[in-house]
Amino acid sequence: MNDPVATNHAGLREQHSRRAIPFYNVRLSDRDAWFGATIAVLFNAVGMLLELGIVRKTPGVSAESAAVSASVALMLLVVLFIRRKTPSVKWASVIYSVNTASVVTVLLSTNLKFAISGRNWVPFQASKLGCLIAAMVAPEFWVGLLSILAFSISPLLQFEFFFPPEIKARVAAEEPWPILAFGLGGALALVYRFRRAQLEQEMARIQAQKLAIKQLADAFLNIRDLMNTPLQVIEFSIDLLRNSDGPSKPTIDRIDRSLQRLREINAVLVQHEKEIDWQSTR
Amino acid sequence: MTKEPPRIVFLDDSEDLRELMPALLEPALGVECMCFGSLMELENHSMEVLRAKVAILDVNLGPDAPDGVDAFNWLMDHGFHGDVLFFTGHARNNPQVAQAIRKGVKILEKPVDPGELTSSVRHALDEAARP
Repeated sequence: MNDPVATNHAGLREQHSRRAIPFYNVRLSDRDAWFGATIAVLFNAVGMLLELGIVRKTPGVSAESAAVSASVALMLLVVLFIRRKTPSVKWASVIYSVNTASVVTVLLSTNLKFAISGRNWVPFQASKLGCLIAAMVAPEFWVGLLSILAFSISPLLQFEFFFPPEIKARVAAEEPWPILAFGLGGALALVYRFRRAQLEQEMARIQAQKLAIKQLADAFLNIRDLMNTPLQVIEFSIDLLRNSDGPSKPTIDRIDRSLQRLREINAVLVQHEKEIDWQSTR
Repeated sequence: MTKEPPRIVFLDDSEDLRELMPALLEPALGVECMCFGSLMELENHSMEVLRAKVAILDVNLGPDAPDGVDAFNWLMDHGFHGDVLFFTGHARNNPQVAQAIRKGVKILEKPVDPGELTSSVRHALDEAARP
């Protein structure tokens, strides 16, 4: 025969392991994800407007790509604003990814020109900033990680394969290690952020569970108190009947009332039993 | 002059138990059992109540009503010298009951066997009679 207690414990362990979501699969709230995407798009919009100002003072660098990216950001901001009442992680991730692609494209198209110009440019500074911002505002872990990889790997590849040797030697002798360090730093910050979100969600779940258990315990205590009084009446009445010469009507009436009270309590319990969602407790 | 029987106070919101308790205790112990349904009733009879040898208090006296712990505190505040027993349907780990236990009050958990009840009350009367 199966041991019901052991089976129950195994079930609880299984439930717990099922509930403990790994940090990389933690789902932020729709609002948090939406807010993160909005901040990322604002960074793009403001950054590209600044870039337009810088480009004007840098000969040989076209303003076109920055203008396109700023326009993309403005359109995404409009979408984010219009759909702000119905935020979703999925759409926040889509918007965030489009925004990242837009920024990475601009940076790839201007890095070499800035490097050749030699003015107003610190090697891959915007990409390094992108790595850190992605860690702070990405709406999902994997989207954030891909974004960090895009910000760190794309300039690295560009630097290794598309920069002429003389430019490489002139503008960024210490690269590619700094961009890799920023990529790694961004990835670790992203892990930390989602690990923290995981702990917060776990804490909220435990607190909710604790509250539910307390409410259940209170209900049990109250039920116990309600049931024990009629039981006590019955027990005392039986004792009186046992020690009396014959049945007395008031005593039998008391037993009857107590039984009625127990039936009423049972009816309330049956009603609550029907309300329990057994599916959700499995 | 005949000696007055020792007085017992019983506080419980169940009318049936208020009727049964004297029927059980008075013949078995030769006591006078005064029954009340609320703390207010108890307070209204403070003179007689405070002269009692034993007080048996239910903990839960109905929703939003002062409970047995309040009654216990009232008795202590007014110089009650008798013994107190809590008569409750709650478990000992109920916060109210646990609070009472910490104050040294004895607990009788409903449903209690009538023999056990009379023996506990007899013991409480003996305790109260000690100088």
